[in-house]
Order: sequence, then C-alpha cells, then structure tokens
Amino acid sequence: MGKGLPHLFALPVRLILGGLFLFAAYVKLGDPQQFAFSVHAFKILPEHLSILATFVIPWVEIVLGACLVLGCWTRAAATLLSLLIAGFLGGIISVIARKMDVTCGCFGKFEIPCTGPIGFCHVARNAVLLAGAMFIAVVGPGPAAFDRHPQAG
Amino acid sequence: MPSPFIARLAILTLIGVGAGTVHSYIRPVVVRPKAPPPPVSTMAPETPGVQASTSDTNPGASSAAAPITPSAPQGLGLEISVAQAFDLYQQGRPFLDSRNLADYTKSHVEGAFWLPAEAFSGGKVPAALNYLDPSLEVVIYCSGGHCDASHNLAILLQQAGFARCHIMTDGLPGWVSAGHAVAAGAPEGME
Repeated sequence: MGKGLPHLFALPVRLILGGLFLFAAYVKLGDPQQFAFSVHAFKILPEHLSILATFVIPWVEIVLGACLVLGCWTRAAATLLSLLIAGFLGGIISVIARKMDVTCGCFGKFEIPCTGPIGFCHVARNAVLLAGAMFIAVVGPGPAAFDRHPQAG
Repeated sequence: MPSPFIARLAILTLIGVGAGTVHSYIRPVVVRPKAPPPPVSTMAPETPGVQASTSDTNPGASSAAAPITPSAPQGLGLEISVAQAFDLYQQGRPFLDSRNLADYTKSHVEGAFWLPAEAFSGGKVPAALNYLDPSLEVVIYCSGGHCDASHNLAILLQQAGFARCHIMTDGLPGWVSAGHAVAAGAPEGME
C-alpha cells in the first residue's frame, strides 16, 4: 500500500478503534458479573461458555486494541477484530430477530452512542466498527506504527 | 510452516483466550442463582408444632428484629408461584422489583422496593439493602416469562449474603392477574 490518503487516514482509525476496544475491555473487566449477565442474556452460549466468554471477550479486546494502538501486528489484529465484531453483529441481529429485550453490555454502563435495549442503533454502530477494522486490515497500520513491514503485518 | 500472518492470528487469539481463561478461574462469576436452603427453625426441637407468630405485617418494611420462624412456607424453591409469593407477602416479607424505573413507576407490587441489578454495578452496595434482613426471605420479581432481571438480582443478593431469595416466576403480570394489590409511583426519595 502506498503512502496516499488511506495510509494517513489509517492512523486515526486504528487509534480510535484500538482505544475504543481497550476502553470497552476495561469497563467489562471492571464489573465482570454485570457483563456475565449481558452475555448470558443473549441466550446463544451454554452457561459454562457464557462464563468463559465473560473474560475471554474483554481479554481478546485488550490484546487486539493494544496491537492497533501500537501498530504492532496490525493487519492480523484488525482481521481478528473484524471477526470479533462480526460475531457481535451476528449476536445482536439474532437478539433482534428473536424479539428479546436485552441490553448490550458492550461498554458496561456507558451506552455509546446507543441507549436502551438492543436495536438497530447497535447494528449500525457495529457495522461502522466493522468497516473501520476491515479498512485497517486492508490498508495496514499507516504512520507511527511498530510494524516495519505493514504489508506483512 | 504456516505463513507469518496465520501464525500472528493464532498467537493473538491464544494470548487473548489464554488470559481470559486464567482470569475466569481467578475471579469466578455466576449466571444462575442457587436454590435457597431449607428454612431453619429457631424453636427448641422438643416443642415441634408450636408456631411462632410474626409481628411484621408491613410488606416491604424492615424486619431486622424478626426471628426466622416456622411460619414461613416450608421447602420453598428458588422459583415460586404467585400464591406462594402472596403467602410470603402476607407474612411481611419484602418484595423487590428488579425491572427498570419506568416500569416500576408505572405499576409495582404494593410496598415493593425498587432494586434493579444495575444498582450493584461497579461493586456498589444499594441503600435498599440497609432496610432488608439477609436472614429472611425476599421475593424478587420482574416482568415474568423470559425476563432475566429477577435471576440477576437474586445472584447479586446471594453474593451480598441473602441466602433466601425467591423469584416470583410469573412476575408482576401474574400478581396482577391474581388480583393482588399494586401501586404506582416512583420509589421513595425519587418522587
């Protein structure tokens, strides 16, 4: 990828995306019991996997968020983050399809920017995040990154 | 040999999943409330059948001084019917509404406290717990059906030392259908 506009644009996108997921992980791990309720409320995973997901999701977010902020293994992190967000999106759509009254728990008590039970605002938010993660996966980390060879990142 | 890209995907996944798995063992969370223990009588064993009366007849009021008595229904499980909940209501056991504030304000069991699970977020201890005796039964309800709010609140109360939590499975709709007393209005101090 050349040093054009997408290359420069990648820096703010990965910083915002990485920072957002680090914040989301911090909030979730700050009150894992409430996040466990949110995961369980989706009624997608069996009980023991809900408990595991309560901790695995925020830790994966920490790892991927840190990689994006630092620009380290950026393409791999952005690819995994795309898969993670796609999974969230699938869960949200399944909740809407089943007409369930569930709150997201994505950012703990901070509802950014969607408030109330899961709805199409959450779909739109995750679609934007997915687009950002896929953009980084394709374009690479941009400037100010640890990756020496962003194409391989 | 996998490509460096695939290897990085695998390494990042392993780090995240590994750290999460370790953390889940260090700090366990619960997603299902425990069944309450059977009632314990404070009566002397040689006087079976003697019923102690309860003086606490105000639903929702503090009953800190009340002993655990055999007048409470025996062997109540975690999930109880409206009729069993009404028995506890008549004995003055507190009712806790775990729904959101708008729903509580619209209609709730007369005398019920408003206590959503979110009141515990960030490790906070809700003020309502100061009015409740953890040794006595509490009845929790939400909207009935598939709502999880009662179960979530039961878990948090059990973690706070309330072992005798009961969930009125049919929730407020069942209570209303049975023709029992309801009230409207914001919680005390939030009018």
